[in-house]
Amino acid sequence: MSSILLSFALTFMAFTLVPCIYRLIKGPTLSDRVVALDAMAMVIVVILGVYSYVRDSVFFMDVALVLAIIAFVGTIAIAKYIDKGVVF
Amino acid sequence: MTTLITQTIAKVVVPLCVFLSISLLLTGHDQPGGGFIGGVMFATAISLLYISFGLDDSKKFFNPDWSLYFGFGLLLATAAGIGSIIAGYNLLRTDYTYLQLPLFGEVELSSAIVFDIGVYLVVIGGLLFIFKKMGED
Repeated sequence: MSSILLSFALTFMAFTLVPCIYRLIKGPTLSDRVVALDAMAMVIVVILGVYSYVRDSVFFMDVALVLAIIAFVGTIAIAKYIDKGVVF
Repeated sequence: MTTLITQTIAKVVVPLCVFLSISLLLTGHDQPGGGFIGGVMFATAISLLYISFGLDDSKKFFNPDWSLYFGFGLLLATAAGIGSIIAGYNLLRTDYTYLQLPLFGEVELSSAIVFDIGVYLVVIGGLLFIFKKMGED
């Protein structure tokens, strides 16, 4: 039962990436692409958390933590670039 | 300078990132992690500080010369390789032992940690030197 639910969750989250990729390619402005990339990174973090439970290994959690922090800082950097024109 | 929300979040996130980078560095020789990703996490934390508080205001209370870190890390990583030749083994040969520490129990102490600390210092020195030089232009 649990494995069916986890397989369904992983499949559903993998299909959730498709509209993010569509907005990333099609997006009219830079802000749309940034939001799509941030949403995609968060979905990948959740996929890694579920996959860590499926494979019964804690090592995927390190990957999820590092990816979450780098996506957060990258989003803030691009947001400041759009707002002010400089990053630092 | 950015908004108050970003600065408040940065004050919470930057120490956590630094602790995560040190944790990744110390577990690196037999678990996921290591000097490179630890250095990248440290550079991410300091660049978040630079982004949220601005480079000019950050330099008033925190202004190290990052190129010195690069050079010292390269020296340390080279010394870790040459030291095993001096001791009579192959290049970059490592050894490990077990220590009994109070409050931690048995801790594995490997000599590969010296090379990892060298890589860590090279990565933070190189990345933050580039960020600071690009930000000053």
